[in-house]
Amino acid sequence: MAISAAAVANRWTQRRRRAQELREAWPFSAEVLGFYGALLDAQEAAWSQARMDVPAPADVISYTRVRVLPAIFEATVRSGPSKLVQSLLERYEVADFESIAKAWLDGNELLPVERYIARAAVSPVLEALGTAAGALGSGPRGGRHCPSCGGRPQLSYFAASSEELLTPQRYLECERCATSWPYTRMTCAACGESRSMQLAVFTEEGVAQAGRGARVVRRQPAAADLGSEAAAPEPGSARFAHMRIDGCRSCSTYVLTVDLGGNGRAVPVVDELAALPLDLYAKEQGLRKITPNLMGF
Amino acid sequence: MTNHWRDIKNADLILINGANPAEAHPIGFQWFMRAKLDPQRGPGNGGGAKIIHADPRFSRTSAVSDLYLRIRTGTDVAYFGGLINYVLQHDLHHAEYVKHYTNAPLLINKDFNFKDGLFSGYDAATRFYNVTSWGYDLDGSGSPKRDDSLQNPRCVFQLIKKHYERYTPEMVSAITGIPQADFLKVAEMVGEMGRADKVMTIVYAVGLTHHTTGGQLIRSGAVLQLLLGNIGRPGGGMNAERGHANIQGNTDNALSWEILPGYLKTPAPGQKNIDDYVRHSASKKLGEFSWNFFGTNYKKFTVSLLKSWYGNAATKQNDFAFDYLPKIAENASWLTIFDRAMKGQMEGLMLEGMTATSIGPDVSQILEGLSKLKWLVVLDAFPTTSSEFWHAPGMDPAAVQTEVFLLPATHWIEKDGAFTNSGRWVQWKDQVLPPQGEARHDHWIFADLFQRLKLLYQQHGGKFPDPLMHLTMDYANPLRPELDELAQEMNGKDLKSGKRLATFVKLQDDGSTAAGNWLYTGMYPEKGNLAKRRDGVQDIAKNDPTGMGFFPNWAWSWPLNRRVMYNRASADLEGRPWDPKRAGIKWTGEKWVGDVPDYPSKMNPKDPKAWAPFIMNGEGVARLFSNSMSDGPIPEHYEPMESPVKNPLHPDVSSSPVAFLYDKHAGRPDRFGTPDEYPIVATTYRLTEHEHYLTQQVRKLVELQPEPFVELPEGLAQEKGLQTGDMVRVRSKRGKIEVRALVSKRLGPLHVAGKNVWQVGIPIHWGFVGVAAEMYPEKAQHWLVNALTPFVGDANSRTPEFKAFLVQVEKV
Amino acid sequence: MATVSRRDFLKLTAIGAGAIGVSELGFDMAHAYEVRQQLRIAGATESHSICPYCAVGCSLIAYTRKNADGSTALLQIEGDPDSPVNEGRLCPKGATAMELANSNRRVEQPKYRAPGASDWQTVSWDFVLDKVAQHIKDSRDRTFVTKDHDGKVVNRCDGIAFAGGAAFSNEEGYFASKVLRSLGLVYLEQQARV
Repeated sequence: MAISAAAVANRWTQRRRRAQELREAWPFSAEVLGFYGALLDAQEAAWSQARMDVPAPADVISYTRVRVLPAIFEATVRSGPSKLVQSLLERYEVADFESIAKAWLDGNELLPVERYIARAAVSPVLEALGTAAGALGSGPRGGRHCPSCGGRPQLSYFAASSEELLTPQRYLECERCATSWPYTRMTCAACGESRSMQLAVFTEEGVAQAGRGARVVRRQPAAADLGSEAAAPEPGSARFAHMRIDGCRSCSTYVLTVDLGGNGRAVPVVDELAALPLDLYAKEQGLRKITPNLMGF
Repeated sequence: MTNHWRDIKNADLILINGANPAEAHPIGFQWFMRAKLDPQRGPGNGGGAKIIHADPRFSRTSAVSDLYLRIRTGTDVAYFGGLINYVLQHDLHHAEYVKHYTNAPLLINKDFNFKDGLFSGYDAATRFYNVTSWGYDLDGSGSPKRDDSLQNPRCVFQLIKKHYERYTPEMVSAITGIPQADFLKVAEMVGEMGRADKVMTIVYAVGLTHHTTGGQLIRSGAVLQLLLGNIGRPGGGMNAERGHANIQGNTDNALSWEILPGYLKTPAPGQKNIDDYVRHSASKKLGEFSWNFFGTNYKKFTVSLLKSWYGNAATKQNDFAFDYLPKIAENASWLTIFDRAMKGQMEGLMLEGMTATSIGPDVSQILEGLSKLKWLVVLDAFPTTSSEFWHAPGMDPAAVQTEVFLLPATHWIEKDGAFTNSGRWVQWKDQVLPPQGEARHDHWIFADLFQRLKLLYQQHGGKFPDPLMHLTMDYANPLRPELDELAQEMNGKDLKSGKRLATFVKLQDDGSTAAGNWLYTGMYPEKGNLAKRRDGVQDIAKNDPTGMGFFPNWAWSWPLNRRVMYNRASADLEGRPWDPKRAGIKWTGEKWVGDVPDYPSKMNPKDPKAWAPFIMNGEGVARLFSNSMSDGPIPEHYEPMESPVKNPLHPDVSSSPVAFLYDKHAGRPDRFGTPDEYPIVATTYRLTEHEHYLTQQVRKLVELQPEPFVELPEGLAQEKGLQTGDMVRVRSKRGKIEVRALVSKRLGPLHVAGKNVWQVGIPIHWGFVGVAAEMYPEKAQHWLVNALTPFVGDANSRTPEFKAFLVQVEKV
Repeated sequence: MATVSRRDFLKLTAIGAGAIGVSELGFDMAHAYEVRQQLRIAGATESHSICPYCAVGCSLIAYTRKNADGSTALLQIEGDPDSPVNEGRLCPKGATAMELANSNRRVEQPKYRAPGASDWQTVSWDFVLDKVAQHIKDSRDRTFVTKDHDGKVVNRCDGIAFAGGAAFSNEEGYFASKVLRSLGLVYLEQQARV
């Protein structure tokens, strides 16, 4: 089914809008989002161009080097944090790009700066190619891997609900091509663990856990009668009311989950980038993210 | 259900009788709406389905139906019978299916007849049928004689056709109150469903079962479905909705007097050994093409059950401890229990998550029964109208000598284990919370009681202690068996290797296997508990490969993970699906694919010796005519025991001639009302916000539906000078309730047998215990609807006639 | 990338990441750390359940949290979106299943009412179990029929009845079925009939 260009273009507008909103609401992520906002312009341009050019899968890396990399590089140098800029300028050579990009697509271990540049440049092209990007990588598809390109899940989100008593599907979103696909609700997105006791969900206290579907009713003190609405803080009072950490004790990984039912303005990829305190908390718990995001968190 | 909830989306036509799924099963109802509305499912795939709702009361189900029929309660046999007549008179049945997959061609005993409302074999003195004449006409080899042209007047097809000739549209209308024109519209739509590329489902609930003719009400729908070739097919079947989370599962486990786990019959006095028992209980193979799977394996299932229960004490030498099984001579169902209690023959009663006082019927008789017990044990998470009966409003506690125990039980979220839904899907749940307070799991209470009893018998002796002493308790902690251990025991194992079995086909009758419930063998094989599987709609393409909604790796379904029962009948004689777009199973040339086949997976259907499709029946085919019912081999309309009119078909045999009359047998005064005293037909119903009597303990739901009421049609309200909100008294011969009036257009006048009849409807959920009762303690004394209902049940199942009785209504 | 070998650098970054208040790519983490310190985070567990009401069999997700005092709090119940039966939907009853699970209307201790008494007494489990066991034995021994009038072996208990089971798990029902039949009970009934 063809998705209209307008609908897809809207993604970039949404990302830009959300980055701006969160920059103001979440000052702790202002630096990250400021840079991300600047990068978005270069990425959107690359995406638009790639949609017209439609490079063959085999040519994606060389195409990216020639048509996309310069603008991404420039935006990074102009707006990126000094350590990143310095690393790029000192250690990075354009000639290395193709091997780095290939290593990234193959899922090999990379330096943070390498991972950054490969991802920042190649992903808009993959996103533009859509399912055609699937011909690129090898490896398994579906389940815990992107059904299109085989990438790992960057994040998880719960779709917004169209009905009050409906809990919608959980989706995973690809680190590489931004494809999202439905995934089993209570199962680790890294190793497939499904035993409840091995799966931990962390949320900011006072926040409704995935606040759609049934209304939140808290356990009452024994003296109080039941059934009255919760004395819990309003969902709005928590910063991360619509987010949670989905951790797995079996493989020690986590993924951030964004609940679109809890916040209709959220854009998963942006909120995930900006929720730095949740990442810090997860790391304290001994968990590592299934795959670091664009900004290295 | 023969099928399952999601399968309803595969139907072209949905008949709903005695049910209100939009309000009583709202989430199940999404599949009805998808059948009707889902644009992704074009004609022939299930989309564009039509819904026909026949019910005494216009409900939210009616509001989204294509046709609503106001029907008099308890007259659905006439409705289905009229449809059967229409189909047969217009030659609209599925000819190939009827000829090969049903007993239509088989000839019936020459002595069989039906005259003036009575089948042959009736004995008026005992109100019983001798069913000998309802058997087949057998040839020398013991096979039923047959006429494949279906022309022989003694063949089932002709007998059925003749039987229903009387069910003309005029007659249907006179009995049911459905206008002829409406009935004919339905008949036309139903008539199309005999085509191979069409399929219809019938969905029902307690509006069909709660009648003295309940069994036959359902059978009449089943006969229609068989004539249309709709049993065994996706989108077809006879589907009971069921109202309690695990009512299906614990029917399977035989918390029911007439069966042992897995629907094996309880043994009867005089059955001396297992072979004798099997001879009396198992169906017999009739004809060379019948596999008679159930009958053939009956002994294996029985022996495996006894090995499971009595372990090493069940040996070949002692006939696998067959003597340990109690033998029951007479009906031992709900009504019988309270009948015996009233007679002082019942000393003790244990009620577990069921409250007799509210359930009834005829609450004053139930209360009398409870008061005559020596002791009553209520195991429940909440106080109930039974645990509190001795100080109910109007009762004098000092006069009640019953000793009462209220044992706090855990409820569903405090323990794991499986629930089996009405579509036979066995779904495992986790223990989410620890027990509240001192509450204990029901099975731990039983385990503890059992050990104490065993000790008492060891110390003091007593009657026949052998079964107690030898009952297996092979659990890590016999006082606290884990449900996981019990699930494994139900599944069963090979006793030599100790390995759990993957299929009941492996069970043996030599004592080398054990299985606590053969129907659940395969749920917990060596690879693990399949009821925990969760491959659902998160990946439909992968998890529902046929697209028919089977989801084979979501939980587990009995038998053997089969999602549509009798699915061999979804394909023609050569194994091709009747409708390729809605295949149940199909023959590839090498094997059957699709759903788990109800047939040997590699049996070539073209093999001249291939089994007939309905492998569980002795005949190998489905029964349009059956000698297994006690009130007739062909469903016939009988009036409810309390009816405003005489049966238009045979006024002299108006109501069921074989329904068991408890009061009469016990010498108690007659408790049936007559239409001159009680001219109004009453039925009971359920509300979305409540479930039975339990939700009286849930404040939020009581807030949504706080007070009981009687729903009255406008015309009747006018006659009585009643308005919504008025307090009214509803009386039957047995008791009364006092509740508010709700005057509505949802009920209306009926013209029946030349007479105008009013129907009223009363929701059942209130009593003298719970949030609402605490709010209105003065009023709650007269809130038990079953104070009105009659102490009489279906001729077969003894299910009480909760759904049709006579009342009078007056302003308080 | 000349001065440090690739492998060494990977090691270095792995050790040093996040330790110096600056992220891998050089973002200042000070403010984020500050916010992290203020956050109150709670761990919850998600479990699978099935709705306790009708027989549609809707799958539920239940969220619980272990409290500091060792108790478990049920935070929320919602529909499981993966279920082919309910696809995440719940009706008003299922949506308030929370309240049934977290009720202060529960019976929390065994209760006993003596014949003719006008009140309940709260009693111990040992008290009720001993008394009920004795009642079952006495009633069973009084009403047990080994052979009927025709001399046929029947081995049944005519004076005790049991009814229930539509609300508990299969395995509990199976266990009840097994134990009760070993006592010779034949008056066994379930909600299915009524």
